[in-house]
Amino acid sequence: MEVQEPSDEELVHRTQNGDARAFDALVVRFSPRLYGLVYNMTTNHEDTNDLLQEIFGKAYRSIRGFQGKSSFYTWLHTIAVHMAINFLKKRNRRRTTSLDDAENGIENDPVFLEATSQGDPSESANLGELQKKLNESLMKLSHEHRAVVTMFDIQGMPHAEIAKILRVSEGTVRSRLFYAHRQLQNHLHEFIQS
Amino acid sequence: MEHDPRISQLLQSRRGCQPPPEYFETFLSEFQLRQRREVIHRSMWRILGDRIGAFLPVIPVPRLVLVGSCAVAAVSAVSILDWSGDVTDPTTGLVQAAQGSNVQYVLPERPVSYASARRF
Repeated sequence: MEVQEPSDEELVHRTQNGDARAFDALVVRFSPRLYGLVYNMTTNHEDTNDLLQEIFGKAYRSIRGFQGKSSFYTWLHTIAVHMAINFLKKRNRRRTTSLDDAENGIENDPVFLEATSQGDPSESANLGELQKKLNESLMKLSHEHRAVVTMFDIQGMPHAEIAKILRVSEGTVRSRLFYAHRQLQNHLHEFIQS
Repeated sequence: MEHDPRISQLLQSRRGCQPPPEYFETFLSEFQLRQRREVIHRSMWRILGDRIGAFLPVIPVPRLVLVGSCAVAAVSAVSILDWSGDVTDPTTGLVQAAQGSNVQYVLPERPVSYASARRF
């Protein structure tokens, strides 16, 4: 007999009533997805880990204020995206540009390379090179544009959901995406042509 | 506003980018540890800030109005406390007068009767 997993709403309700284990279940459920979001924004494992801890910490402290007007998923992503953007702003103030961190960047990450380069080694080398270029191009985008690209293209979220998370109109999301794609296309022009 | 499919395809290849499953087990343990540590080391101001932050969205009033009302309430409370500090004890005059003379009953003011002043 299959045991039915409790819904997000049920886990949230139990957490609001003081059941810390219910929140642990939410952490287990949402951390892989949030990891993808934050990692693609920060492009650094250690920063992602620290930031994820802070995001879940903040969510836990504020969960009593969650009224269920949006889904828990949207609420949590809102916290994550805004904290990630603030983090990136602070990180940029600390050092001139994220490109200084190229050695620790996603394109040199063995986990990432393993995940993306499965198959022909020559194809993997090209893909690695292309991903490196893509990463550089992504880093040239503003934090807000990078957030939109991460949520739409990498996470596969719909425009309406992104608009709710960023508290902007759907039109703004579409125009940011258009601008970001055009920027990426300009940077990756020669790679894409070949 | 069409999206370039090649760019989207390239970005989608990042979807599979995840750390090994063990990471998430460690992550949960680390989270629980941090939570406990935070409970022990949290300052009063941070607790107060979090409580207010959690309480504010529950109230169905625009936030600006709420903040304004809180500020007015705080200023009023401070001024009332300050004013009440200046008020002298009404029995002080009575005691001082009693000490300074042999008169047994000295009142600072003319006594006021509780009975109605009206006459019919």
